[in-house]
Amino acid sequence: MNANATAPLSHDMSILSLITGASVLVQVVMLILLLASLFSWYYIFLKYFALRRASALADEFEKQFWSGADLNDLHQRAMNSRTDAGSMERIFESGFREFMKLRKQPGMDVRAVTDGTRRAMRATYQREMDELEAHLSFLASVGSVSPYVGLFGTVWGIMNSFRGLSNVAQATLAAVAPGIAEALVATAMGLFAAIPAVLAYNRYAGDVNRLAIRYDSFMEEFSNIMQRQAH
Amino acid sequence: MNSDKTKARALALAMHAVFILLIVFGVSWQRKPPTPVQADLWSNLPPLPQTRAVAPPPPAPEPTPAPPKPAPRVTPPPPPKVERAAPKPDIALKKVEKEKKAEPKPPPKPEPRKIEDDKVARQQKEAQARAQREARERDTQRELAEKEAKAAADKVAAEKAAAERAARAAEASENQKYINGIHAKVWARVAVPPDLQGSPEAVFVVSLLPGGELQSVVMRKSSGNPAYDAAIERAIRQAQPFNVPTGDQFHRSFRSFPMAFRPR
Repeated sequence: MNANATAPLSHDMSILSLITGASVLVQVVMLILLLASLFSWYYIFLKYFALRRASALADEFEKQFWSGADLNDLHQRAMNSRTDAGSMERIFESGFREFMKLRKQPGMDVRAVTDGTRRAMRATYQREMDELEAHLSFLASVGSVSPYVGLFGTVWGIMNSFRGLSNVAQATLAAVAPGIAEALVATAMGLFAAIPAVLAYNRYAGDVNRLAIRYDSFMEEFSNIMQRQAH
Repeated sequence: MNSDKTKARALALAMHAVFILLIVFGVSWQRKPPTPVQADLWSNLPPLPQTRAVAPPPPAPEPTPAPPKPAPRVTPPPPPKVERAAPKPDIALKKVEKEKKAEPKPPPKPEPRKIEDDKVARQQKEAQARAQREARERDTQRELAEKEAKAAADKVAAEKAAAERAARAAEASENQKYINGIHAKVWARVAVPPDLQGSPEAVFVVSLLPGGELQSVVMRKSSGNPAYDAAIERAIRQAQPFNVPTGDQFHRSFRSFPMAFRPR
């Protein structure tokens, strides 16, 4: 009797119609997720370039340092190319400068000189690490939060779609399916933003860690050299 | 550092653009609902559509060979018949001639001169008779040919009519089979209300679309029990699509037809 009231057999299920057909809140959620994805990818690429360059510069400086070049020469070069120097070079530069200053002061014992040098290097190291780790927390946040944001959009969309179902006498799957599909797009977008962010965060955190270990060991080795020189 | 930033920005945008294009154009989101598979059980099968399609041609070839048949038959028979027919007139003429000869003979005798005239007259008469004979021969030949052609045409027409009648009868029985199938399919879905008394008949006019889908169903005669009427109508709507013949047979008999339902 109500054969005329049955829903059409097929809906337009293209992704664009799903997005435009969603409710306003779900659309806002989708927009937020799109921005999150854009920014996280921006930082993924930015960090990729920065870490690659830091690693290359550290390689280069270590090679120069251990090739037996004169420390004064190295210091001079580091002073001149301050803007595009690597982190390791800057650590060396600050440590060596402090060492020279302390050595000029009369009445300083060896222990005080090496401690002062180490503190200076530590300060530079902290600053460099801060720069390397910048924005990694953003990737971590996107990775952990955007699935929840997407889920929120989905839950809201499904809620709406079920509320609409209460007005229909005959509940068919065809009546709810479009609404659920629209809502699920939000979850898909959340995952789309989160997965690369999590992967990149883990990868870059590991890279930063390895760089930090390299800087640390360099500082130890350089301290030994300074100590020998101070005598 | 600055160049890194622009590079990263461009790469991020390019990545998203490529991904969105891939999603929108690369994936086919439109899916067609699969056509429902339906199986009807028939106690005895109506001829398959192919054989039904082939069945009409047989009558057609028959008429075509028929016209040629008279032609060969017409040509051989006349000669013997003409030969048979020819002697008869000859003999008859001869008799007539003899009678004529016998009759006119007495008068010429008195005048011998007239014998020559008589000869000429006889020759003339003979020529006349020959012409007559020939004309008659031609007539009989024509008549025979006509008769034969008519007989052949009659035969063909009779055959055609018989074939048509047979085809119509076959179609009618086939239609009945289809209707029985539809009736069975509908009846399987009718939930007869328990309070129905007696065996009232309800008649519905069912209009179908080619392919067996239901176009409309209209109640022509109520059974008197609204619940029963509604149950039948619901069953008809549920039972579609029906198994119907294709082509002309459908248009002749299944566009719109009445169906009677009667709880046994």
